[in-house]
Amino acid sequence: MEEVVLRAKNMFKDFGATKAVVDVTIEVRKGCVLGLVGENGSGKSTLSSMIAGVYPPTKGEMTYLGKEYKPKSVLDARKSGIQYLTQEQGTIDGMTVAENIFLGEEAQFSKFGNVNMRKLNQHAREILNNNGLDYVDPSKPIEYYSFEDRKMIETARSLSQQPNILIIDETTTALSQKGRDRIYEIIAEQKEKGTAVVIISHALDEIEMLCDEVMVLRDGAYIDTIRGDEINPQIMRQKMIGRELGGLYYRGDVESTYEEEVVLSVENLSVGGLFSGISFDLHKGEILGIGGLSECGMHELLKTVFGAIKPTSGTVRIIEGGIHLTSTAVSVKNKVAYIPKDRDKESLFQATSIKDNIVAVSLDNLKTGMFILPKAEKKMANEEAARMEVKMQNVEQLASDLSGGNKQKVVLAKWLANNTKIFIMDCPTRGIDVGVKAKIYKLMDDLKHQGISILMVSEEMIELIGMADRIITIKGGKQTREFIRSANLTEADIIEAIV
Amino acid sequence: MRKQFRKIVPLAGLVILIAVFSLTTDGKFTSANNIRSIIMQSAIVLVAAVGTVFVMAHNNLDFSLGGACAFSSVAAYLISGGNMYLFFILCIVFGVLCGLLTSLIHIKGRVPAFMAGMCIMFAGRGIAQTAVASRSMLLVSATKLNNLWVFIAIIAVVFTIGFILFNYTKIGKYQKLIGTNPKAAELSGISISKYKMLAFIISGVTVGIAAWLTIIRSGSVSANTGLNLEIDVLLALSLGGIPMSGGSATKMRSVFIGTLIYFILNNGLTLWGLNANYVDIVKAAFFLFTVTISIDRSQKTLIE
Repeated sequence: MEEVVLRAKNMFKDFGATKAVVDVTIEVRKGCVLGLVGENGSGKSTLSSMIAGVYPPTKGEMTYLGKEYKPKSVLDARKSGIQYLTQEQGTIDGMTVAENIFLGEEAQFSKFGNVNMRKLNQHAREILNNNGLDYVDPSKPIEYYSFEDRKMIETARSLSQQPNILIIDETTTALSQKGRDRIYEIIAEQKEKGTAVVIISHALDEIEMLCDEVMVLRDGAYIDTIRGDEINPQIMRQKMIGRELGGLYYRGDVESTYEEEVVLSVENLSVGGLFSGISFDLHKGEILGIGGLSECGMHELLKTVFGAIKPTSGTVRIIEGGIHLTSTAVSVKNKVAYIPKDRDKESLFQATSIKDNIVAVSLDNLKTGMFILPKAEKKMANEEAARMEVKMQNVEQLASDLSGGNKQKVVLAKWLANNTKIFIMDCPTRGIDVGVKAKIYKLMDDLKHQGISILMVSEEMIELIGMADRIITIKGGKQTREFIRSANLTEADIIEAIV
Repeated sequence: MRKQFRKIVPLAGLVILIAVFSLTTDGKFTSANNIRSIIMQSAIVLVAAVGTVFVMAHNNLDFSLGGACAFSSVAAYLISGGNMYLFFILCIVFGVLCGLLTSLIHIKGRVPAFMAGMCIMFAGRGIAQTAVASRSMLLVSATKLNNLWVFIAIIAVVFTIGFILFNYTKIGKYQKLIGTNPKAAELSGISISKYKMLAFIISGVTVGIAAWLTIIRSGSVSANTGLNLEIDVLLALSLGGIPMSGGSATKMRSVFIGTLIYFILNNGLTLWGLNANYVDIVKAAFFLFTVTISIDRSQKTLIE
């Protein structure tokens, strides 16, 4: 066994009445990659936050490099060699790239309070070059760069001084394949250098690929540690939820099954600068998957099909009635639904009741005469929330109080309430824990068998392979290939068509 | 807990004010005459506020009210030539016209709504002033209706219709959704331009009715008809606890509570004999206090 760098013993963390972490002991070893997995609310992020100095434990002791460890802040932890990367923006607007890299550490470049910008930029330039970021200009304001570049700059910052522990908390979720690959490279490099790496992720295949050891948490408590060959998604899932998933996760069948009738036809669709000449037919009862890299234009494609973006050329037509989808209002009227990738900003009304969220698109169907009665709203909301098994206190609760998985259930409930016939989904299981994911896959399968059609974009290859009848790939805004559902389809096949 | 507190503050403020003034003015505050006076003074703002709630709910402010009021009165007067009923209908027609114009400038011209409102406000007042300067606009027959029961009836009808529209129809509900999250609203199939326009039209209807009430009270159209109406409505609604950025927490009851607080404060302080200048300072302090407590800071981060 490798040498222990940090040991956190009998850690507890309470947030008011919520017990986020209950008596967990964790050891982080030199040159080892440790995975932390668990559903939302399992305590994995809270645990790593305490190690990273975000907040102190309610109870528990940590020893680091043989000495007692009580970090006062993230900066404090960083100075002692523990680096922490998260999912959200970790860089600050209004400062240059160089200023962000040396945030909190400007003292080394200043004399009598004045920071030597030339030196600052020089050192920043070195760090950027060492991390494959030669194209980044340290003197430019950081807002100039994309979310992903900023994340990479943040990563370069965390590696500028060789860390002892590198914690990566769900950082890969928001990155493109290219960004993810770079993080994987970094993990491999650091492991070689003897750094202890802790990685938290919902992407179990990623965990399988990277980790030497995986610790499973559930409801704040320690469940098990798995090593070596035992590390595979199925076993991890089982331990995370604590019960057999009932066999199936994705669809059970391996054949492409859909009716001949075409319900939606997209012809030569283009939006200048984003994608061009996209054409496909969506059949009744079909799950049509679209795969590609993050910036290939597929997310905007879905918005255009739904009518939220005006195309520069091409048409989107519902076959029944020959209706062109020219606006979101037309789409909704014709029982088309859209589930955005950015749940919190684009599909949920946050400071609003679950009830109002669920009935939002179905108001016309609820009318008694000219008016919408509260009783009818409540009835519909209760029915749909029960159907989706939303974990809540009651429908009057604010939607913002719900966990990610339950928020998505509310979004789905909203569209099901409208008797949707065509679903357009963008990354429907993004950032959702395994238990809810399984429920959503089952729902998609049920809908499919009811003759409802689904157009789905996903950045998870396995999800596409597991769920879709056909997969269309997009690269650089253009359609490349089409794959038919089959037991032999592999991720590598699809990746080839999208990079 | 904090949310409950926030909701109660305006109502509590109103109750406290009523209690304080009732007890300290030797019965002057609660005399029939005084109450009648308060109701009739507040009617104009109350009615205009009902329509403004729709606009504020979708996160806009309507600054056209004063100018729209003046313009509508003048235009209606000139065309109706003394016919009371025609005057009433035309007030509303021109009120709606102003609302439509404001919304068109905002939606098609992509000008921020408050600026579009201000343009209409200045234009409207300018036109009214020019017209009034050239002739007197007496409508003495209107003062026949200057009595308490007519006013109460109008307030009741306008508020009831506004309440029903706001809470039980798409027109009202969509305003709140647009105010909470315009992107999600659009992606839920709501036509943002259509419903914003409807809100301004409704605001135009109530401004027209407010214009009518103003003429009834004063018997003529003057250069100052509707002066500061938009400010009065905004202050009243804020005192009533309406969220500044609209959204799901917008309530029609803010109209009643806020307008009453506004005019009762005015009335009570005057009964106390407070110098008119100080009355404004007290009003400002009260306003600041209520709004500071009412602003839901937790909401801010949620929307971000």
